[in-house]
Amino acid sequence: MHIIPQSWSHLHILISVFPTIGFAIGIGFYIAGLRTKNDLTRKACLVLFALLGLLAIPIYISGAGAMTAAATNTRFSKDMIAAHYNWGLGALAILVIAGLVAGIELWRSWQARRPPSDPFRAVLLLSAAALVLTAVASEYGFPINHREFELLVTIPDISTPQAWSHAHVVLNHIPTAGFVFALAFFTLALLTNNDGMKRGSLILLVICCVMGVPTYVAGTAAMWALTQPTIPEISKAVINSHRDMALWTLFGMAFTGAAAWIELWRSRSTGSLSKPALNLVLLFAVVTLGLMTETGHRGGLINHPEIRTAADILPTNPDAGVSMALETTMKEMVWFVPWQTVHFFGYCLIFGSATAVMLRVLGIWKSLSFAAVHRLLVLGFLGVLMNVISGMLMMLSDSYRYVVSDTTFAPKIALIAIGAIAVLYFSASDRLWKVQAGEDAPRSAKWVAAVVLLAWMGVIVCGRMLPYI
Amino acid sequence: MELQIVLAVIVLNSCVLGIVFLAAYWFNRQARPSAR
Repeated sequence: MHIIPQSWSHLHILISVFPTIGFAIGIGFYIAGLRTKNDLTRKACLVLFALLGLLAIPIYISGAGAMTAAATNTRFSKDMIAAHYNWGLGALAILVIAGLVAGIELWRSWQARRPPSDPFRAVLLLSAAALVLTAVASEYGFPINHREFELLVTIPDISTPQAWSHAHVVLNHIPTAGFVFALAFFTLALLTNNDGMKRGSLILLVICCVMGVPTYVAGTAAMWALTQPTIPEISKAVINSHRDMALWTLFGMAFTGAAAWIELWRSRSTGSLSKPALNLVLLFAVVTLGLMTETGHRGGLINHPEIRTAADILPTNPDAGVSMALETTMKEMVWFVPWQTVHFFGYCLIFGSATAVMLRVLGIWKSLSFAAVHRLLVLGFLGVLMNVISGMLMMLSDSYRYVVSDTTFAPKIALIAIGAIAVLYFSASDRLWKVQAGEDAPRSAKWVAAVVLLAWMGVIVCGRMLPYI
Repeated sequence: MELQIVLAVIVLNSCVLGIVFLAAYWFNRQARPSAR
């Protein structure tokens, strides 16, 4: 069990990312619980906030232990540690208060045998404050060890901006910690047979899986930022072993996200969630979380010499591994470039089905009910799956050019994430589902439709501009 | 050589699109309210 922390520093960096992601997810579920009058979801969120408040204790103790250990190490700047400590104390104070208020509300509702009410929205406001403050404290914490963020030396056509490394360090926690919370909500929903929470968990799992794409891309760019020009202490072999595991995680996320998305879409028409499909999602999610844990551990080994133990045997061959082999194969395969037409078929499917569904929502094609056009969405979804796989292979074949030289790649990936997440609204909204032929869609749905269309348009434009800008 | 590449591209693309349309057909069948 090499992933179990052996030092205060390791424990601190492992647990301190959970409050920020936990509050972001908890607030989302809490608002959904309020709007759908789902008492169990709100109770579960209060328990989550109370547990996150309790997490402040091990975070503080491990942080103090890590600070003592870092005091004698010249690698760490005292000013940076002091800034992180001050913000951290403030964040932990709000964390404890938010957890306490959530706990009191839970206890009061249990005593009075009524659903939690939170009339002044105190839990919501305090949780939002805890979310912001823990995020700020983390931002002061990351650069203590990640000194590479400060490297500003740029050699044209060789260096990669360190903003990518920073983005990867932040982004990777969304799918990883997100999966832990998503699985907790999902398991509770399955045990209590709460359909609203099941749907919420499926949506969260899809969002985490979508966020895996920008995380992987930012990671690829971070690899270039850390290895070209080389940085002492950072080994390409260690990065490659992290990258190999990340590739398997990407496959795991494709399976989990696909199973969750299809069940969300399918259950709209049938009116009920299928038990075997939900169990399949659970199975995929558990396996993927296992892969993610190992990926995260290997990622941590890249640039955290302070957490390495004697049991961590680091790889030394920079050319070993699946990712390197795949890169070489993609470069040498002569028919791979013409076969990339599959990527074009993929975006025709995405844009075609998105346009048809969005035009109905925007009111141009009112002769059909929303339920009738909703069926087309699965074609667009299969297009996304097709293009994520073909696109990732294309990126692997020439990653430096795509992620570093081509400036429109980053906005393209950001727009993919926005477009893919926004589409979830069309399988989630009850009001929209009931829109009959001849009726107007709700105004909020029209805004989401506009965002979806513009995002996917932007993806195509940025993709076409890749070789030129 | 070029002919082989063209053939490989046609076959691969047809396979992928075939699988996608079959999958869409199958999922739509599963999504019929009567399939409950």
